[in-house]
Amino acid sequence: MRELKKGSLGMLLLRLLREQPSYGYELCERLRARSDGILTFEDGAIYPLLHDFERRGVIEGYWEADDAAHATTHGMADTGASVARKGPRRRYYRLTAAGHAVLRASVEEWQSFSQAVQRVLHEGAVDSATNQYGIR
Amino acid sequence: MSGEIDRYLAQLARRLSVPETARETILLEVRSHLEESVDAAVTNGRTHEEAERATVQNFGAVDKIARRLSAVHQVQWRPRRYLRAGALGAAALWGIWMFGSIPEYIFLFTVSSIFKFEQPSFALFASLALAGTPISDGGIVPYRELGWPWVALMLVVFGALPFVWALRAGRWWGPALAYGLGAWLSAPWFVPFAFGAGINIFSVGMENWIWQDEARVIALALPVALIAASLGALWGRRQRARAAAIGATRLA
Repeated sequence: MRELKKGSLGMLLLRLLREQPSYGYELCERLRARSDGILTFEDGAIYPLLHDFERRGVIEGYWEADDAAHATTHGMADTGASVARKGPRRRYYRLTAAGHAVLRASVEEWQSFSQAVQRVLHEGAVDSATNQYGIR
Repeated sequence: MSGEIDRYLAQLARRLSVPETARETILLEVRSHLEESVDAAVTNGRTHEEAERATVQNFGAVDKIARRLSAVHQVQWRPRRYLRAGALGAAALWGIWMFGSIPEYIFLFTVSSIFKFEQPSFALFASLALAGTPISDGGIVPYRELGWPWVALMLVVFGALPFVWALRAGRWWGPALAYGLGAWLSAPWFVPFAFGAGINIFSVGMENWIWQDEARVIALALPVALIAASLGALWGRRQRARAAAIGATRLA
């Protein structure tokens, strides 16, 4: 499970960024909320991924405007929460055109992997004469 | 905001090995994340101290994050840096060579009777310093007493810089080549001795076989730099592979 999560985290981040520009903390919260808490990870793990994506031109980072940083209320798309904040500016990320292509290819690759796993599990169950897990 | 978060950011700043602009971005971004997380936890009823502790814990081990971010933000190499690498290669060869002569001096000043009764003076230390450089036997002398492990140790120290550069920069062989060539060019007389054809023009009374031993060790400077850099590049690649998402890394 840990390896699966690690491998898919980048793809999930890109998927969330496809919906709207977002920043690190918000991305973590959205991932947790959407996965009903199943996808748990250390928050810091997303930054090397985001910075690597940015370096490769998959996403684009930018700082929120000064005036927005210090006295505005930001809504969080999936959680419905909103946080009034005074503090350092947030660094937002948005998907580039290249990022859309990378996301598409990643999703296709993931789906073909996932379907292959499903097929193996399903066929094993049908084969089985002894138990539901296909173990003779 | 203070305490745990400031400590965490200070540790992160110390461990990051990235260009200055990237360091600033990372620290601001992480601070923003941590502070927002603490604010949210306090809003949900935690005390400020509890919230800070939980936030820092949930963010992950500072070493791991710093290592992964450093791997992503590799240093870019430009022509001036190559020149500097060559100069550093020369300085490293001479510095390590002179440092390598220290065991010999300890021997001469303590066990041996050569300098035991001589009054220490500037002239004595100056002549010893000169004798420690690659134009004299210097670092190769302990080799006769301590053997190859001593030379290997000097070579490992020499290879440390190209290793770190390759770890941080995308191009591994260019900086290492500049570094190794810089070392070679700083002691060009070693070349004929390496082929057994040198003429002893520096130290009267210094045997040719000592020069040949020196020449062999100096000749290793370039290959050692390249090997160290290739190891650094391999290590860096391993770290970047860990830092990047498996699918996106392959496809980007």
